[in-house]
Amino acid sequence: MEPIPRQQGEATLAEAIGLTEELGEAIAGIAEGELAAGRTEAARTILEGLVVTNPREPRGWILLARVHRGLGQPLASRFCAEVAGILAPAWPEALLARAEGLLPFEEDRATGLELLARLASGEGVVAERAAALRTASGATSP
Amino acid sequence: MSLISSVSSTVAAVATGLEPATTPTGGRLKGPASGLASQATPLALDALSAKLAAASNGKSSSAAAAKKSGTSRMSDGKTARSASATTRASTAKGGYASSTGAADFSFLKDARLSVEEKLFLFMCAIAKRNDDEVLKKMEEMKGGAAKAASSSGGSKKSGGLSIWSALKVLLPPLGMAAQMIGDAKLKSLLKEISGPVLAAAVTALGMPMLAPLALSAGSGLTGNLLDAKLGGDLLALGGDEARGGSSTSTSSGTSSSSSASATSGSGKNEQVQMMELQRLIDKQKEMFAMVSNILRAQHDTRMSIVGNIR
Repeated sequence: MEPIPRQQGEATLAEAIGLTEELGEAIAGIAEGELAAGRTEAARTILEGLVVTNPREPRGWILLARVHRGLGQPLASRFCAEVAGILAPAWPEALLARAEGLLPFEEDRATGLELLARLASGEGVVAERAAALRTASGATSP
Repeated sequence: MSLISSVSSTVAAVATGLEPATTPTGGRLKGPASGLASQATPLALDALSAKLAAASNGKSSSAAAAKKSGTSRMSDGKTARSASATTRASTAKGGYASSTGAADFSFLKDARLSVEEKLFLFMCAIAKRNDDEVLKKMEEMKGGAAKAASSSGGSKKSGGLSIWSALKVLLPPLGMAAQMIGDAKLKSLLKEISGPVLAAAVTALGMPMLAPLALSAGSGLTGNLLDAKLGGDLLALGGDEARGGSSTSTSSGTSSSSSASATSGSGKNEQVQMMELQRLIDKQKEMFAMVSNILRAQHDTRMSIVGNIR
């Protein structure tokens, strides 16, 4: 899957209002904090604003996928993860989100586990989480 | 005339069921006549409004009739009132929908009224308008709730071209996704994801031109829109393909999940309407606070002048 090329003259709201990458990161950080604190609705509000402001920011989509998962909306979570995956096809975090989005669906679980296996062979936090998820889903013995 | 007598005459006029804007003419009454404000005011008002209507229409015949009604009020008030009512009716026929709006604030140009009187009348007019708005909103809410109850209780409508089928034709990925995960799942996805997020996703996926469509197809609207019949441009865009898909989509649209989300949609609407009602009431509060502040400031100014004189 290749990233979607940007069309000529296409500008995001973030560019129009002068929202810098640092600010975007900060907003995503706040949303992540809200999510960690269990305030899912607040995180959802922030993240929906973030992805609307800059739809090309994969981190916002990944976090929104987590929010939807927390809200018990696996389909919406998968959708957001897929968008993140399309925006950043080589980014391990986006791939992890995509795999997590596939797991709740019986027919796509195998694809999700394959993706997790690929990620688990790597290094870092993503690999650890992928390995843990594989174990939790019964793909490997602990 | 003092502010108090003007206020009392206005209150009397309001108590008789008159519009506040029509009361200023009652202010001309002096002394003992102020006690009769509730009777005299409507008559004077009718004559004045008839004159105003005639003047605005530029019809000399109406003006003459108004004048006539103005003189007749001295002898028989009831006749004058009915004559002016006739004049109003004829004015409405002349292209004016109703006498509300600008006519309500005609007292602002009345040179005989003081600022306080105008302020009070203005407040009355605005309060009446706000009350009307609140009532209208409550009526809307009542209607909306009844509609939601009837739609949730009854079966879903079938047949016709749905926006859903047109969306699938317009958005090839959506059509593919519908084939892959099924219509019902995709519909529930559209209901879970809010419109702006969906629009953002479409933009991120390289189809910014479809963002407005995605925006309207998002949650909140989706429940009502998906099975709504299409007309105009979308009908033309959808074509036969969409028409063919409509029968399957409408038949599968009667799942329990869709009805549950429709209920949540109506709940959201109710919430929005409640917020709207709250806003209207806040507006009223603000208006009262503003008038109260102005009157207080005026009073303080006068008191300070009196204090300085002493």
